[in-house]
Formats: sequence, structure tokens, C-alpha cells
Amino acid sequence: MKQTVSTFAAQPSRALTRTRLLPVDGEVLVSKGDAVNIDTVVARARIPGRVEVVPVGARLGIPPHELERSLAIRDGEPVEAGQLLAEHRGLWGLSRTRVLCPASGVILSHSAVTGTVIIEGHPTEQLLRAFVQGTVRRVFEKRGVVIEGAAAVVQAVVGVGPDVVGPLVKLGPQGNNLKGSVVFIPGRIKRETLTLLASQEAAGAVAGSVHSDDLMEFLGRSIDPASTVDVETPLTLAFTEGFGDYLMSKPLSAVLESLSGRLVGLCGRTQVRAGALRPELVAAPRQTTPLEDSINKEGAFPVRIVRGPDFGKLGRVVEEPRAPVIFESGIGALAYVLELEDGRRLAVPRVNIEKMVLSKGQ
Amino acid sequence: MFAITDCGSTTTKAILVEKKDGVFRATHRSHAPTTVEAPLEDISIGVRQAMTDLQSASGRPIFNDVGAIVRPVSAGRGVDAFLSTSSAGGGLQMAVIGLVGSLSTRAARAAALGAGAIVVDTLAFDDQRSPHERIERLRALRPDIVLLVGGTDGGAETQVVELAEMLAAASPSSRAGYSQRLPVLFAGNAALRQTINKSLGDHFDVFHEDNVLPQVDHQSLQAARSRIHDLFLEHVMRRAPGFGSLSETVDAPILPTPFAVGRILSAASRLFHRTITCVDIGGATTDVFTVKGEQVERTVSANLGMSYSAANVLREATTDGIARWMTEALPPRRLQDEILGKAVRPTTLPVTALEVSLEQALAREALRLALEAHRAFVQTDLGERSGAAPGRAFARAQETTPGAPSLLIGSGGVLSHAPRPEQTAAMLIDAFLPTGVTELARDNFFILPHLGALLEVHPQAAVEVFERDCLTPLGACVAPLGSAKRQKKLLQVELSRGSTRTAVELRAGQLLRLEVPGDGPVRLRISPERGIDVGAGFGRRLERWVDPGSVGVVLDGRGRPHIDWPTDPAARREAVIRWQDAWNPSPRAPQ
Repeated sequence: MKQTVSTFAAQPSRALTRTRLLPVDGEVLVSKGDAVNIDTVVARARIPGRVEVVPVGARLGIPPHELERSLAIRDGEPVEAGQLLAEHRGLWGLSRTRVLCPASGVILSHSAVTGTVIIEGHPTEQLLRAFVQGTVRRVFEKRGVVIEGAAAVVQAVVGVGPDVVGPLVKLGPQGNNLKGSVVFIPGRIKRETLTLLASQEAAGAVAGSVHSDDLMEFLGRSIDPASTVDVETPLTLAFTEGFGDYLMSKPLSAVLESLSGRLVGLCGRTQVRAGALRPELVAAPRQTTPLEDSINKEGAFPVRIVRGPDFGKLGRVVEEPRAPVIFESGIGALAYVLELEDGRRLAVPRVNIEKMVLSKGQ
Repeated sequence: MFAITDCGSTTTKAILVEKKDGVFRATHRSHAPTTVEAPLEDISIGVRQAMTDLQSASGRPIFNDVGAIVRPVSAGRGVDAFLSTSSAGGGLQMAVIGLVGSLSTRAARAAALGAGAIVVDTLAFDDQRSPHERIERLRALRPDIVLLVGGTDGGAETQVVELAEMLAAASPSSRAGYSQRLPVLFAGNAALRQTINKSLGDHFDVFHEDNVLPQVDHQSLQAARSRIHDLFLEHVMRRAPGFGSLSETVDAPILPTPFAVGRILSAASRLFHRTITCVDIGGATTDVFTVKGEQVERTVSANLGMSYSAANVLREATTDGIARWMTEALPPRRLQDEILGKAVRPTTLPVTALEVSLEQALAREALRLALEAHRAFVQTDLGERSGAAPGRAFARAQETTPGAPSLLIGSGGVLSHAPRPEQTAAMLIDAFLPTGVTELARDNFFILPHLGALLEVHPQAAVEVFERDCLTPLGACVAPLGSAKRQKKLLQVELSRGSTRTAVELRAGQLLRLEVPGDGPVRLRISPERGIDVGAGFGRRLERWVDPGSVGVVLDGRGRPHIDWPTDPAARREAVIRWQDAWNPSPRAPQ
């Protein structure tokens, strides 16, 4: 196969290098050469809090240049909600107007031009976990680390939510205690299941597919699946096949079955372009299963079709026509002829297949 | 002989221009992945690959023994000049902050777009967002440049400084990296320059330019545009990894891709004395250019596209808006899943007729929305040129709608690679709803940027290639303005070539396609009914020569400025099926 094709990973064991960076400058807690586990906190940062712009001058009824002498607190000082922020005495001291702090935080600045005071809320601490079992190979001062290790990896096509770590649990009869777990669902996840998992405080879920309207109703907003980096969600989610009603590819579910009960890391963030980022689930490496071995022994790589009426079907490439093939749509494109699991042969545009990466290695 | 590359976000395209039979032609093309991002992080690697492939495709040696491009041509080796354009790394991304959304902020947005920028967000003092929402948004953005405006000269001060203080509190990072200081261009109330320096100087590299709105009824965009262009070259393009070595290799300054496109369209407009509208629809963005002589208006809708931005098109157009163009009934849930599936697997191709129909419906809406944004911008910009307030310019632009644009060019995958040319024509007509007589063409390989670069060093070569190798004529569209009851006669068209003539009537609600076999232009004699205008005035006859291209002449009586859609869903689907059928051959025109 000469042309580069998209890949997706279902690897029981592979070398894995991950650069782990804080969103803002912070503190790195590990050193080069340290051994780390998936859930080791390698760095932490204080994320700036919400900013409030308080029109103090206007509320006191004074011109902006008089703000300075009315302030009870100076730039850089901490404040609590309800604390006196500024005071103005009028009518020879007989009347007093006060402005109280609307939020806790730190006074960022005040302005003699606009008469406003800017308060930045208390920062929140963000912990950055290793996500990969391995060794710290490089440290970026205040920013993060590079970790080299080995892992079982399952890649998804779209998802939402930040890194979470928890035991992998296959969704069983209701009543399981799912708190903190990463739940595995081989088929389509329904809206009511999403709600159930959130109510039980599961850490995340990896599923075959979801209807996009179910996902958006669960999130309470419409999203752009090509860029979900900033989407807030009560539950980190990853979908291996995408939108619609599709079962997870067999090799993916085989790897996940074999990881059941183990500690895994799941990241749902998706960025389709500009430094592409796809959701992935990682765990400590493990032995291959008979299914994976049989796929690996077939000689030709396995592929899956990712568009059209045969979406999700697995096959192998048996022919590489040199001339473009004209499809029912009228579109002409370079194609591969695939032999599907059911024995059918059909031509598929090369860009409509994904190569499964199953073997060991990078 | 010239070798020219255009470094796009994902693909670097190279062309070879040489003289054949006394005229310049684009004889060979090649492409390679752009290598501005990891792991290679050197734009010149992709350029070298594209040039190597060009050498293989043409069979002409371009490099010498040590791998340098030979210039000038010597002993059948090398080229006379090597040129390049670039939009690699996503082009110029700007945040615009202003006081009043409909005045200074709108003018600033026009300045940014006109300079070739993608506006990632526009924040205004009156945009209904709370201060903390604006700050959160600014923190989330990572622009290349911030354009801050507000206040006429000698006008508002306090609120403008408040915006600056908000920007300082947010301290957004530069897209170039956390360690890079973000350039902020202030083009507002000139009296505030020192105050702005004081507010922002600790956080940003602050630059000043003439106010984009010196008076309430007068915009002045050119100085800001020019300064943004310079800042882009100095602070953004040069930061692209490998840009330095590429700059040393080329024989003329590397031009930003949209700027180069504007240059060649302007040259063509002047040469052929016609207004040109050109649209380039990509996966993430849709660019629209309107060009009339020296006057080049460009907008880029950074959130409208066929894959990466498909979700946004869906959000703005809604499932109903997209489905209305399809002859097939598709449940809204399936339609949404399919479109969002394309967003996460952007390089996949439609294999079934249904999938193509859906993509082309999505394209119609993306193009329609991009044109809406473009019209709003052009009408704002007219205010500056005429010295009139934007509102009055808007009205005037509406009055002059018939007859323009005279050439509509479509480019970008969904238009350039549609299975049949009539599908491209249908998408362009449905989305742009041209009025009067309009010729349609498509740019199959998008070599307009290359020709813009070539224009700087050899105008004759650029124009000759534009004429012969750039555009594929699709045909012409005749669409009258004016209202009439359904089935009422709108006009009669007589098509003639040589001694052969055919006359056809167009009725309200009808769409007709007249195939015109054979080569050469045909003459249209159009006789509109009273109250109907095809560009010469209501009820006045018009005569035009048009190139019927591969599609022929399309007569569109569905209504202008908007299609008169049936309100009943079943009737609507019937209408779409009828229009679809019209694209199949109908009355034969003269040969």
C-alpha cells in the first residue's frame, strides 16, 4: 500500500511517547529518569480564576481620577466577596457610598481612566497526570514532561472531555457502582445511558458510536466535533466509530475486553486539524489475544471502511487498481479492492478506509 | 519558464509555466503535503518535494547537482524565476475588538478581512457579552494579531480604554507560542495612543495606525489593511518554520495566498472589463472575492466549509435548510450524523448518489452563508469609497444588483470535482442567485494564487495562463428580477449562433437548461415582460454574447433576489425534483 492511509489503533502493546504539557506555566513535580504510572501527577498549575470588572467609579458617583483615594484595597491584594472595596464620603462626610467586592480573589488592576477595578477570582489547581506508564525522558521547566513507556492503546475517532483515569468496567446490569470508572460499551451509547453514567459519577465512557443529537442533548449544547478541546462535560467520552448506530470494530472491543478491570487513562479531546488530536484510551501493556493473533497472521493488513453503506465493515486489500474507479456517486477516485469478512469483494476509495494498527511498535 | 508554488494549510501545489506555440501555458502540475507542522516543521521540505515531483512530471531538469533550483534557464535546465505564495499554518488569524458592533467594530472587521485575515472572533462593547465572558473568550483565543479600535478621532475615550484594560486583563497568548509577545494594532481614536500604550505596553507589542472610523459616516480602512499586511509578513509568516530558507530561494517576495488571488482577479477584471465574483470553498473556510477593476473586496468565512467547519454550516443553516435542497427524504437525525461524520473524517469521499446529494446540499448552504457575509462586508466597505454612511451604501448596492456579477468563478473540492459540470453550475446558481446575465466558470486546480505571484514578475505570462489554463467555462445563467405569479411569462430568449436561432419562453417558477453543442459564443436576445428586469431596466430588451461552456444556457425563473419556495413541504420537494430534472437536457439550442 503505497499511499498513506488513515490509521486507527487497537494495540495490546506498543511503545508510546507522550508530551504532557500544562495549559499555563506551573510546577513540574517529577525529574528526568523518574518512573511514572498512568495516574502519577507529574505537574500542576494554578488556572486563573474568573475575572470581574467592577465599575467602582460609576457606582460611587465619582470621576475616574478620584478612584485611587476611594479604594480600600490596593492592586495585588487578596479580597473576599462582600469585603469593602471602595468608599466615598460626600456632603462633608455626612453621606457614605460603599462598593463591596462581588467576588473573592485578587485585585488585578484599577483604572484612573475608566474608573473600573478588575478582580481575578481565586485560581483553581489543575493536576497533570502521566497518562502513560513509563519513564520521564525530558522536563520542560514550568510546562511539563515527555514520557516514554509502553501501553495498550485504543484510538477513537471523536470524543469530548479531558484526561481521566479509572478502572475499565464493561457496562453490565444496572446497580453497578460506576463511580470513578471508565465504562466500556461495545455498541451505541444511548442518551439515557449517558445520563445514568453522569449521575453515578463515572469518570468516562468509551463506546462504539452515539447519535449526535443524543450527545448534544446530554451536553446541553451543540458542539463542533472537529474541535472539542474546550467542551466541558460531566463525563469524558470517546467514540471509536463516530456518529450513528454502529458496533465497535471487533479488534477494538477485543483489546478493551482484555483490559477490563485494569486502570486506564481516557482522553476525549478531539482536534481534527492543526496538530491533530484524537481521543484515546491507554493502559499498561498486556499480551495479545487469540483474535488479534489471528488478524496479525493474515499477511495483509486489516482495514475498515469508514464511509458509505458498508461503514464499519472489516476487510483486507486484495487489489490496488492504478486507474481511478468511478463510483455510484459519479465521483472518480483511486481505490482499493477489498475482500470483506463475508467474502464479498468491492472497490472502496482509498480515502474511505482506515488501516488498523494492531502489531507492536510505534 | 517559471516554477511557482502555493503553500496551503495542507497541500503545497506547484506549477510550471512555459511558452508553447508563442503563448504562455501552465504545462505541468504537482503537489505534496505542506510540511509546516510537526514532525517535519519546515515549509521548504514540502516545497522541495512538490518541485521534485514537478521535475519528474515535466521531464525537465530543474535542480542542479547540489540540489539548488537553476536560474535562469541554462542548457535546457532550470527556470527563469521561482516564485511562491503561502497560507501555510492557517494563514493570518486575528481577533477584532471594538466599541460599537455596527460601526467601528464592523469597519475593523472589514479592514482585517481585506488584509487577508481570518477573524477568529469579534468582540464589541455592545455585543451583549458580560465583561468576564469577553475576557474568558479572549483567553481562549490564540490569535496572531489583535486589532483594537473604537472612538472616532476626538470622540469616545473611556470605553475604548476599558476595552484595552479588558484585553490587558485577559492577556491572550500568541498563536506563535506562549513566549511570543502578541502584536496589538490600535486603529481607533488617535487621541488615545499614549493611554493605550500605558494600558497594553507591558503585555503586548503595541502598534498604531490611522483610525478605521475617523468620523461616524466615514471609514478609512486602507492604512490599517496595509499595516496588518506588514505585521503579517513580519510577525506571522516569517515565523513559519522554514520560511526563512524558502524566502532566500525565491526570486520575488513570498505573497500571502489571498493577496495573490486578489491581484490576478483584479488584472483579469481590468483586462476583460467585467466584474468578477470568485468563491473558493474548502474544508475549513470559504473565501469570496468581488473584483471590479482595481477594487478588490475579499471576505473569508473561517467557520464555513465542507468538513472541518461542516458543523457550523449545519448549526447556521439547520437540518431543514440543508434538506430542502435534496430530492431524497433523509431523517434529520441521519442527516446530522452524516454531516458531523464528515467533520471528523474530513478526507473521505461520497460513494453513493445520496451522499453526493447531501454534500452538494451542504455546499449550497455554506456558499449562501459565505455570500451573505460577503455582501454585508462589501456594502460596509462601499461606505468608505463613496464617503456615504454604510446604510446608504447598502441601499445603493442593492439598487445596482441586476447585471452583476458578470463572471462567477467556483473553486474548491466540492465545486471543482463535482461528478458533472452541471452540478457545479447548479450549486453556484442556487447559492449565489445571480441576477441578469452571468457567466459561470470553475477553476479546477486553483492556480489563481500562482498567477497572482507570476503577475508581479511577468504580467503577460500571468494573463495568458489565466485565459487558457485557469478556468473551465461552465455556461451562462439568465435570471430576471421582478415578481410575477407562478406560470406567468417572464421573458423570451432567442439564442443564435451563425444562421441558427432558437427561441424559448421562461415562466415564473421554471428552471430551464438549454444545451448548446459546438464551440464558440452564442448571442442571447432577451425580451423581458413589463415589470421584469434582466439588467437593462424593467421591460427593456438586452443582448449579450456568452460562452455556453459545457453546461449551456440556464434560464432561472424561480425568483430573485430570493427563490420563491413553496411553503408546503411536499410541494417543496416536488419543486426540487422538478429543478433537478431541468438539469437534464431540455430544448435543443442551435448548433
